Amino acid sequence: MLLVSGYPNVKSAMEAILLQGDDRVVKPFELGKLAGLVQEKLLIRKPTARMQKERGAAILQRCTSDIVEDWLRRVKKNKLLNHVVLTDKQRTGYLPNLLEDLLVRLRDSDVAGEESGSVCSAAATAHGKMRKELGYTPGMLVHDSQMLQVTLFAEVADQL
Amino acid sequence: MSALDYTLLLAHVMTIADEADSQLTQAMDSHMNVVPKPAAA
Repeated sequence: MLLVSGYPNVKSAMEAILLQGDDRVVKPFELGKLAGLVQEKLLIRKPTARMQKERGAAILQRCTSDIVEDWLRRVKKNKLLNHVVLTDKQRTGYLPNLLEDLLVRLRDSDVAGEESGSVCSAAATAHGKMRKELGYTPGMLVHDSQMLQVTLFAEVADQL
Repeated sequence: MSALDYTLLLAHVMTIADEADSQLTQAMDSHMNVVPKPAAA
């Protein structure tokens, strides 16, 4: 940023502003001098370390495999859910699909800019049916879901 | 370098909780063999 001013006496104030800028030019000035200054600053420009803001859906998508692993770790520690012996693949089951439906909902809310409706999730329906076949009780299904919420919020908290 | 967009944080947290509850409801309906009601006209 170049700051142009007609008041050289405000140098101290300009110095403060220049903490965010590259240099100052006091009027009147020759156009060639300004052009030379711009060229000089462009040549020695430092890369800015601007932080790129990331939306929740992007973060969760990037961390999907971590979320699945973390969820599995939590579930394995849960006594109630371990009444039924399952392989890791059976445990995770439709979890990636459930996460994908959640991402759809988050993206919808970003586009709409307001509250979005819940997703009609074929994965959730298949998840409930599969869990029943594997011997889960309704209470276990609730625990299963609570583990997912805890894991998701832990992942979001890690980004703060 | 990236960071969570704080302006959307609360809305996202609420959406995550709501969608997780919705998924649990749908999974529970399936688990209990509940036939989903058709949408009201």
